[in-house]
Parts: sequence; C-alpha cells; structure tokens
Amino acid sequence: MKYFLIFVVAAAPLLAHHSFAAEFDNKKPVELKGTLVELEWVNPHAWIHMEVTDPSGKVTKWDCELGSPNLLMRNGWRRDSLKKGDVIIVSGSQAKDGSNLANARTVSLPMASASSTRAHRAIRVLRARSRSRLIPPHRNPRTQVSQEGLTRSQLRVLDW
Amino acid sequence: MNMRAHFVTAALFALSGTLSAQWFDYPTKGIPRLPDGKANLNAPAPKTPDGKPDLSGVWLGDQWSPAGRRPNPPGEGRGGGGRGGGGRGGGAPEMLPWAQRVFDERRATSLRDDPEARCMPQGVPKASTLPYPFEIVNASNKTLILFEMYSLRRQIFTDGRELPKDAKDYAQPSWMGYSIGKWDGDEFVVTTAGINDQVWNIDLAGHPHSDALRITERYHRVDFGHMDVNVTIDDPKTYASQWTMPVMRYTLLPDTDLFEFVCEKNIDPQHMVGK
Repeated sequence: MKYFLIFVVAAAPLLAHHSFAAEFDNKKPVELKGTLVELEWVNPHAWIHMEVTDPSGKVTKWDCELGSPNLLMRNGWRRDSLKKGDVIIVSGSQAKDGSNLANARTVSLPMASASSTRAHRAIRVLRARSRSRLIPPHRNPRTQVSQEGLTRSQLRVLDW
Repeated sequence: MNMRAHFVTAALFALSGTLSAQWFDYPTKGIPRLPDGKANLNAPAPKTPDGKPDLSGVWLGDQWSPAGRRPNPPGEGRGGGGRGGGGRGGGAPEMLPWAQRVFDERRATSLRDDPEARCMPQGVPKASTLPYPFEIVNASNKTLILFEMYSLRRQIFTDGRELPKDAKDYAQPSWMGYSIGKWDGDEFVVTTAGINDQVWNIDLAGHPHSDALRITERYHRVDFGHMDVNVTIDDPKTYASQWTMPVMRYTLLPDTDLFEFVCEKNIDPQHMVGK
C-alpha cells in the first residue's frame, strides 16, 4: 500500500458541460476514503458511487463526478480502471446544496490492489504523455512523489 | 515496491494494448512525421488537389491541448477561444441594455441555466471552444465540421449558394444555423446565420444573441499542426457594434479519432443552485 496510483482530475476547477460554480463549491474541499460501489461509465459524466465508513462505523453513500468517458479515455482511464470493492481516495469539492455529491479532482487507489493491467495501462499513458523515455517517477518532471509516497501522475480527468 | 518493474511491464503492455485502443490512438496515415515517429506539427500546411489549403483533421483548442495555448500576437486580445470566449480581456463587446442585463444575470448565477447542462446542443461558435475535439472533413461542394461533444455537426456549403439576407427568410432556424464558405486567399471564410432562439450563449462567457446574428469565421491553417480562426459577431439587435473575438487557436490532434458522445444520463441540474 506504499504507492498509490493517482488520477488527477485537473489543477483547477474547470467549467464542465455545466458550470462548475453553479453546482460545486471550491471552498468545500472533501477527501473521501471508501469502497467503490460502481464506476458508472456514462456521458456526459462518469460517476464514482462509493461508500464511506466513518470512525463510528456509520456508512455514508457518496456520488463523485468525473469527466466524460471520452476525456477519461484520452487521459488513460478505461471503463475497468476501478472495480467494485476497490479502496479509493477521492478528493474534490462538495456540491453547494450540501448533498453527498462531489466533483472529483483526484482519484487514487493503492498500486498494490490495482490490477496490474489497469496500473500498467495508466502508466503507459503517463509515459506517452511525459514524452520521454522510461524514467522513474521521481525524476519525471510530470510526476511527483509526495511525502506520503503517493505517485502523482498527470493522468488528468478533465471535468467536462 | 519496485517501480522499475512497473515501468518495464508498462512497456510490454504498450505493445499489446494497441488492439484494444484502435479508435483513440490509431496512427493517422499520410501525415508528416519526425524521425522519432511523432507527427511533425510544424510541417507546411497541406493543400487539396485544387490548390487550396486543406483544413481537414482533428482539432482541439490550444488551451485544452497538452502543449498549451500559443500566445496571441502583440496587440490582440487576451483569453478568448476558450472559456473567455471573447468576454474577457481586450475582446469585450459593448452590449445593448437588454443584453447587458441578461449577461450580468447569467454571470451572477454562474451560467446555471445554460441548456448545455441539460444536454441541449451548443451553438456557433461556442461549439468550437470546448475541450473536445472537432474534425473538419472535405466533401463535395461542402465542408463538414463534426463535433465530438454531443455528436453535433455543421454543414458549410461551398457550392456558391448565398445566405438569405433577412431573419424571416429562414424557414427553420437551427442550433448550428446555416453556413456558406468561400476562399479569400489562404483563408476559408464561413458566414453563418439562421440560428434559433434556443441557442442560449454564443460563447462560454455567456453572451446572448438575437435572430439578427450573423457570424463570420476566417479559418487559417498556419502550418500542418496549427490553425487560427478569427470570429466576427454582427448582431445589431444585441450589440452596439460589430465585434471580433480574440483569435481562436487550434492544434491538430494526430493519431486519434472522434468518439461518439451521446449525453445520455445527466443528474447535475437538480443540484445546480447557481449561487
């Protein structure tokens, strides 16, 4: 569980096919760690449906908005990038209406639990996008390894 | 965990992954390439058999492409082409009072009521300013623009027909309007009118329009990989004078094709509070 594969949504909130600001509040950041119920692969947005368990054991359902399947695919995702039961961490912004709805900025999953195919496919795209030879992530200018040991790829999940 | 192992395996996957990826990264045939196999985006602009610049290809607004946006030449407005859409920086138009009121209300509510959020089509030129590619296709007596987002398309007739002059002469105003195209030197000049009143905003900034709207786009393929489009808005019922949007800049997307995009399931509007 040392390394996480992180799908970066975007460096800043983008207008979506709908306006970001009409629906989400970038002053309400959320970080949700939970279990994937479903990656719903539909236009205009793919959705992560997940269950978050708080310290008292209470389970809360959350819906997290991603970009469209088209943009996700061009940025390295596939419809099987996440599987039911995956432990994931979603960070993003909560809906202004206060519901358990968020616009996902990054989605991370433990590299160890990601199926090798999914992880490698993502890395392949990362490598192609870095326009460089195979180099370790810490030396790749488009990749950063944070103190927590998280591998931040540039697999953007544009929110459109 | 050994990251090197991951990367080595990634290379193996690259060989086996091609078959399942043949629509979004299949190599485009017949385009100029560099010794390393990448498309040579700085090669000269191609020509059609009749000697005109060939605009065909899959294009994406610079601001959405990995290489980023090319800067505007000195003296031109900032922003534009994308989210600003002419509403910011040097390209801000002077609106008539009704239009200014509408525009201000839209900005105050974060464009909440944009029908695009309910899967309705965009208009012209907004459809060309989105983070999805469009493809220009040469056809006989017309040029087609296929938009990935919402799978829309424009027909630009090049057979010599003229646009009706008056709004009442358009029996069926439409989302994408009616377009004719003519060559002016190396520029493909497209004039569009007959856009319906359901088109809410002509750009991402939220500018409104009337049935008098007439749009002139000048397409210029600078070189193989780059295209500039100058857009002039003429709508005397909405704007105090004709205005030109900051130049829209596009980069060719080689080795990919358009996907279908049907806006099939949309749950956002119920959560869009606006403020």
